[in-house]
Amino acid sequence: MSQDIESIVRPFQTNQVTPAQTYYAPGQVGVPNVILRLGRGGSGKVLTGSYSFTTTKYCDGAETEKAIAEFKKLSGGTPPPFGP
Amino acid sequence: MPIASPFYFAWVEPDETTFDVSHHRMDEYIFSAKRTIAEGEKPLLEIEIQNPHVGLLNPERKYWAWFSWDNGASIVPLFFGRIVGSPAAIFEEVITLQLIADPIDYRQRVQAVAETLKVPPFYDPVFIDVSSRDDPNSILEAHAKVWDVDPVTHAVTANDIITGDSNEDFTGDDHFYDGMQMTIGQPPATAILMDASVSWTQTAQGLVDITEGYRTFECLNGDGIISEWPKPGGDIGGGYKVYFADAFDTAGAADAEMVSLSWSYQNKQKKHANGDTLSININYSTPMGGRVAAQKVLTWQSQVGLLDPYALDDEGDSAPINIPPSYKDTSGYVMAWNVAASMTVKYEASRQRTERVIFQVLTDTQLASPGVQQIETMTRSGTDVGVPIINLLNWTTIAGQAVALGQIIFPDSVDVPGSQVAQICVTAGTAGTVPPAFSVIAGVTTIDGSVTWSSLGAATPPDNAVDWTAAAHVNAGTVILPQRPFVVDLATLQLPGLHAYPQTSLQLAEGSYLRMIDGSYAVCTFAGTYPGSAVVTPLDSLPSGRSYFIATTAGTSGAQYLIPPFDETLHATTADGTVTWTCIGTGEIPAGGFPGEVHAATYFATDRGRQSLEYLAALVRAKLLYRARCIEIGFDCDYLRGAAITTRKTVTLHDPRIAGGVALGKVKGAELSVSDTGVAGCRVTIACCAGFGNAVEEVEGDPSYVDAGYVDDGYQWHDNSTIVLPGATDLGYAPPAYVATDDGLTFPLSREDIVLVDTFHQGADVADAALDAMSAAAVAAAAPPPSYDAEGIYQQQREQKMLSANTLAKMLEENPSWQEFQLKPVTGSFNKVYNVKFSNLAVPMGIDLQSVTVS
Repeated sequence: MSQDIESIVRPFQTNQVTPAQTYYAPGQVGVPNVILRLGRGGSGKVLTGSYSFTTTKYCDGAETEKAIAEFKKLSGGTPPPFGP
Repeated sequence: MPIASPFYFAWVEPDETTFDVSHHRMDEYIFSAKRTIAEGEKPLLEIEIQNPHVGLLNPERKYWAWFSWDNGASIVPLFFGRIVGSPAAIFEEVITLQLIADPIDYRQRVQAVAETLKVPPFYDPVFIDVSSRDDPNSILEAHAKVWDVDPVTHAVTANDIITGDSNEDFTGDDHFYDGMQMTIGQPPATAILMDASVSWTQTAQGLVDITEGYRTFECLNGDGIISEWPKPGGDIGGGYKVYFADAFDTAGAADAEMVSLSWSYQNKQKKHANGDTLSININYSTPMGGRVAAQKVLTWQSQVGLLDPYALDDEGDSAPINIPPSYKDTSGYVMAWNVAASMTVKYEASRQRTERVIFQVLTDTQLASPGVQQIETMTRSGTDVGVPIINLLNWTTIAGQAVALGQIIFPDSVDVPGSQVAQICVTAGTAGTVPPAFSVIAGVTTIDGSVTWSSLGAATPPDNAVDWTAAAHVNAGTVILPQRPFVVDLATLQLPGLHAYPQTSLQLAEGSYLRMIDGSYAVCTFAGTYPGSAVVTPLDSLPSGRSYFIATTAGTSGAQYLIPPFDETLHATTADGTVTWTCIGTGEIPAGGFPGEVHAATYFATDRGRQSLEYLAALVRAKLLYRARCIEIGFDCDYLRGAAITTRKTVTLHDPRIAGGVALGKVKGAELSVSDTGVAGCRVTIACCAGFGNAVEEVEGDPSYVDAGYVDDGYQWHDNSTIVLPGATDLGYAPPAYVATDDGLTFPLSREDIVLVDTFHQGADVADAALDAMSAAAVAAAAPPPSYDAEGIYQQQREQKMLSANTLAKMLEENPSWQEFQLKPVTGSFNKVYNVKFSNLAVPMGIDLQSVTVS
């Protein structure tokens, strides 16, 4: 085979049977894969709750006042402090 | 002076095609006669006759003639033909007439022979332009043959340029010594490089279940997965559309909500003692529904109770202390998601493919000089092998023949109008025997026998049929390939809405084709909610996309979206508006498959592709063989031997002056002449090949697929094999081997073919961290500033903003759980080249130029 033939058929020509070769047209590029990214934008879910407990108790100073009055009537002085 | 018998010349009617005794007469005085036969030419007769001084072309005169010769044993016809034109020197006493053996029905005869030559590998419409597929000369191109007309019978044959029907042997005594001449004509082409290509669109469609049913994702950001999950009918690129998709939360996070509860107690007693509980109030709110992934008390405040009925004030008066106990807190709950999701995609591949084959064939010729090659290049561009081949016939071929619906013809008679515009049969029948006047206007019909033709309006019918079009004027003869629209099950469209919370109605887009619950088809002709404002019109059926239809009645097609119920039974009709369509089947696609389902990834490595390769080889072979007959030898012989010479014969010529002493060649021409002096003879020219007379042998090669004998023929693949070109013994080739050089996709596709990545990226569990951040933000919000000046307040607000920004959403943004799919695209274009090794063309040895026995 002459050099002329080689130059004509290059780059595909080889001496033996060759399997198919891919060739690309100018500017031809491969197709990118399809990429799915699912869920990167989620914000989740948060709930807020509350708990409150309040109570009221009965409390008066009637006995104390009564004791003070009784003491003053008996001693005419300042009553001592009361307490449990 | 006129030549006396044994020559006869009789004017006859054109239909007196059989020579008999009535033609043994001399209607003219003949002075000389020369019959010329030449390869590829119609035989000619040139005679000198006495001027009859009448108009030779007078319609009243006969202008066909028999020329015959009494060879001593019988009177044999030598020529039958008609006069050509008007003779020169018409006023002379002796004029020269030219007659030609041109049968009236020559075109029909050639066409009939051409039809018999449409055999592979010497005929392949893939590499013949559609308008030339029934052209006799195009059909003959790959055959090493030329047209031949017998000078007597007018039999038209395709005459092999190498071999003959029989051989005439001429010894040195049979030809005149001085008359022999040998010339070397145009040097043989020592190599031809063929560069050919075909293209097609690889098409396929189908469904692939990407998720393999429903799968679940446990995560904290299921709302993101649900919202971003593809929707039915959506286009995700790469040739994929979402056929079915659904994503919903099974853990109930989406519909979880807070509920508030309260409980109170009131002491109804009339009298109370110190320390008695008068009332209790408990209020709380807590999540209902869903599953809590993490929870945390964000803020709390507790008050210890103090009860002192004996306390005194500063004055010593009773001032009881009653501080009731209390407690309150706030809690945060991060909900867990358990998303069930499914996705099935529909691929719609439409991939442009081009395949090129390059090979060269060298001739095995004695005239090749080392290092010097006469290389020619041939290029051929094939038709689209992914669409049905149009079997276009000349009108001459079908004249008087039955014609099927959809048959396309080319009116090859130049004598009638419309001869340059292809016509298509819209009413099957039997064509007439006289070419009708065809119309050049698209859609105008012509009656021809019982056949009705419709003009295609162009010389070349389109290879690709178009899809059905709504509300369009359709000419009779228009061929369409109704495509199957993208159809989605109604249930698959409705399911995501039913799984959503709250449930949503289905929004139908105009032009959406649906398969209803009962299996019937419908199309949305007015967009809206379904059920609701959307208008859905039932359809009887949808086309498969595989059958072609021809408009046998012109008119206007039906309304938009309402594809008529095409009946795909061969020759069944379908009404569409005022148009009537008739099914004409699928047609033969060289690359294999059906319209819309052409899966071939290669052409030249298939059986059909190898047929095309062999056709290309036959083209090269024919051209090389024609050029290989480069030695021409002319010699003279007597009239008797010359009368037996035809261009369908070979001649073996013996002469010691010829290299090797003998030459074998095909008769290229012969001039059988008798002069006005009565000298008669024949000048014969033969063309000889200067090859080596080798033959190419079939080589099975080495089994490379499995061991020999393991599989039947047809499954085995061989390396180093040689296939001899069918119908020939002089050229062989190694069949091209297919190796995938594209993306490797083989249709129909499976999930494994296209899913490259299927990964669920589980994000970090940020539930506790998010709750801690919320707690810190709440505490900071409640805390006093470091100082009650501007700087202190600024620092407090800045810290609060920073802490409050550190939310669950923010953390999930940085640590999402997400599903990743990567799919191999079904789009793209692919080019491929095969370099095929051919043997040298084994040229016959008609003469041995390398012999040493030249005298």
